[in-house]
Parts: sequence; C-alpha cells; structure tokens
Amino acid sequence: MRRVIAVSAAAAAAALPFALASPASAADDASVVVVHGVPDLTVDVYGSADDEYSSEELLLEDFEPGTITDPVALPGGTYNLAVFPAGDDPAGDPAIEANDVDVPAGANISVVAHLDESGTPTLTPFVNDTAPTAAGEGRLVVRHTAAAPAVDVLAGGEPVFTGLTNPNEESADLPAGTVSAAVALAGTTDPVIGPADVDVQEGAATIVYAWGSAEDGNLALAVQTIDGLHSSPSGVPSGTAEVPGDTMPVALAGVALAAALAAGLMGLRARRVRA
Amino acid sequence: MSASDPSGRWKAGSTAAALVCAAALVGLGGWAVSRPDDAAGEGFSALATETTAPPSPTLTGTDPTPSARATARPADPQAVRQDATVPPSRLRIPDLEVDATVRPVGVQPDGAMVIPAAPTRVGWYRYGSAPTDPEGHTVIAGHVATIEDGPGALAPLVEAEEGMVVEVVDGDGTVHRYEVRGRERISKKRLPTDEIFARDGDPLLVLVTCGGEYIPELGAHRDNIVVTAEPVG
Repeated sequence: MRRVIAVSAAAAAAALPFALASPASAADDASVVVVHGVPDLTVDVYGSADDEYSSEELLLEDFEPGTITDPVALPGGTYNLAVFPAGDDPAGDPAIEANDVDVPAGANISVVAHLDESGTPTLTPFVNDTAPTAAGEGRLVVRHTAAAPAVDVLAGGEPVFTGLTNPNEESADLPAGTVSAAVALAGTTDPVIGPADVDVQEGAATIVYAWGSAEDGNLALAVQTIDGLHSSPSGVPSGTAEVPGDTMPVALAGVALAAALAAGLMGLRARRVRA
Repeated sequence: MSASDPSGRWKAGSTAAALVCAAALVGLGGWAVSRPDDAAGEGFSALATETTAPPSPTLTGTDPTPSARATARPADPQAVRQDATVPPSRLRIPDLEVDATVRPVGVQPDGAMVIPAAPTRVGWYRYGSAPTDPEGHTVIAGHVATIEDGPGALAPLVEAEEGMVVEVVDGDGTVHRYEVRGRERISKKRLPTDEIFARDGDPLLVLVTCGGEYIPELGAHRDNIVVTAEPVG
C-alpha cells in the first residue's frame, strides 16, 4: 500500500530543476547525499521544479534500503523530491513526496528517506556540520530516523546521548578511535540496535543513522562519513635538551692557544740562553 | 750552531710549537667552513608548492558529481570500515648514520604532535599519510636531544644534504626509498604546520626535529629543522 505524504515547507521560491550544475555557480553548489532508511522498499527517486515528475528527472534508480549515495552537486535552491517504488511510472502517486526542500547554496546536506516515529515514510533533510575538528579528534553524529520511541545512544555501554527522538540528531567531537556503539530505549541499557564497532575517524564526521521499525524488528544502523575536516597539530616539540656541543673547535682552539704560548715562551727562552 | 746548543733547542721547540699552533688554526678554519648552512637544497620549496587551501569537506573521498544521477553504496557499519594503513616501523639515513624505530603517534593535550620520549625512537603522525598512500605527507619527527638520554636519533638531520637516500621500512618489511630535496631551519613560531601535515598533494616524506639556539627557560630549542624527501625507485 502506498502512502503519499506531502511535506510542505515555506512558500515556494524559484525552484531549479535537477539539471547539470552550471559552471558559473559550481563554487556555491550544495553537496547532497540521499540516505535510504525505509525498510523493504526498493525505490526510484525523482526531483523536479514542479510537482510533476518525468523520466528526465530521475535522480536515483533501484535505490536499496540501507544504502547511501555518493555526493551530488546541486545549485542552491528549493526542490521537490518524490520517491516511487522502483520501476513505477512517475506520473503516478509517489510513496513519499517532499515539497520545497530547501538546499542552501554551499551547504552540505543529507536527505534521509525514513519512517517517522509512528512508522509513516517521510523525507527529512539534515544540514551537516563541516566545521573543522581539532587535531586528533573526529565528530560523531547520531540521527534518530527509526520508527521507535526516544532512545539513548551508548558508547562502550555508557550513554553518550540521551532522550534522542525522531527525526533529531545529537553530536560530539571525540578523540579518534573505535567506539562500540549501541542504541537502547531511553532510560535503559539493553541494546535494541548493536553493539557495533563504529570508527570515529580523525578529521571526519561519522554520521550514524538509526533506521527501520522497532515493531517490525528490523532496526539497524547506517553510517555516512564526511572527510576533510581535520586540523594540523600546533607544532613539533622535538627536543627537551641542548644538543651536546661539538668539542672539536674548543679542543683545537685550546691547542692553538697553548701552542702559541709555548712558541712564545720557548722563543724568549732561546733568546735569553743565547746571550 | 749544533743541536746540543741550548738556545738552538729552545728555538727548535718554539718553531715546533708555532707549527702546531698553525695546524690547529687550520683545523679550526676547516671545521668552521664545514658547518652546515641554515638551508640545503630546495629548503622549504617542496612544501610550499603544495596546496595551502584549508581542507574542504569531501564526502566519502569523492568529488561531487555534476550530473543528476547518483550511485549508492551499502552503509552498514561493517561495510564502511576502512582497511588499516600499514604504518612505518623503521627510518634509516645511511649517510647520516640514522637508524631509528618508528612508532605511530597522535596529538598531545595541547594540540602539538606527540614525540616519543626515548631518543632512539621517532614518531610517525598516525592521522596523516603513510608511505603506502598515493597522496599527502608522511611526517616523522624525533627529539634532537633529551635531558635524560643525550642526543636523539634525528640529531644528524641538521647535516642532511640534497640527494641523500632515506629509507622507511614498513612493519611488513616493505622498503620505501626517498631522496632528500631540501632542509631548512625555521623558527618554531613560524612552522608551516598545514603544509607539513598536508593530507593531499604529492606523497612527500617530511622529517622534523629541533635545532637552532637552545632556550634554557623554555627547555627547548628555538627552531625546527625540516627535511623534505621525494619517493624514488
């Protein structure tokens, strides 16, 4: 059964088609990935300036649940997105539709197709934080995009984010390393997802999506990584002591001085003795 | 005048001493001339040609594609885990008698690179590139000297010259060869960290230690010595 949801936003501004990014505005293009977090539904994704979708406006074909696209460059603007069961005629009714999705110029965005808390498919755009991380750290972001009540996120068995609800996110910059991540219903520690090893990469944002349906027993994690956020170390403090001095010049200077003195004294003595 | 003449002996002794003095002065002059210059070869320029733009986010390492079609990849945590890089384990510079153990190191609480305490050990910046990476700098640094243990493995770096061979050996035995392109001494305050620790651009080897004037109040040298080397063979 298809359920059509229209996610409306602010009044429509000029909506641009999913055309090739024009070179003049390439620097301002937004970078967009699409996350498929709706279980059991292989889909085609279309984007359009209006709410009619044609085959030229196909963005993604045979998109499987639990997969994430490579980034696509899009000029900033607002877009209408529609998700159809794979192979369906885009003239028909979409499974999920989102109108006036705002894609700000230069932004880094993840558009997530997922179930809301009550299990209805929906589309949520998340703006990704690409601020630099400190040297040696990575950014862990967790997004609740599952049909499930509020959850706590555990790292190594300890809650790091609590009371996270659909469709929200929490994030923290952490020392880089592998985290044993799990998701539990809020206030509990029994995992409903995981634990699974998640690499918090240095200099990157590691974005973990909780997706699926608690009721259907198919809750799972999906991971998106954004590289290039690293900072350099502040310096190289390589030397706590003075380098032991070269003794040769001192020795040579001493020899020269002693020899000069000896030469002078012996010369004087030679003159005295001759007399 | 015979050799047994006392004044003759003193004169001979004086002449001998004068010769010794002259020899010592010549030796001193030779030593002074042999001191390494502040910079050798290309100095820093190998680093300076690298991109200095601040890193801009690249999603999963690929550039955004300008076409409307996109490709999708599995995203479960197991699928996205990257293979561990092979870290370097030994650094050798035969011309300078450098032979040191290399350990992966990270960042101190103050944000500076960690330097292994034992002077025979040097540190490889684990978040940067490794010799097996096609891009970015492999950065290896070590103490020039420590209070406890005297001169460090990289103390001879101050005499590195263009063309000297550097070998970095991986834990699996692979030997990576480089040739020195430049050496430069630079005040620590002006160390170009973004260039040294660049993760894109040419795959150079960058070796860093300390040098220049020692500042007792700080317990540190004023400058860093930076040697850049290019892969060969």
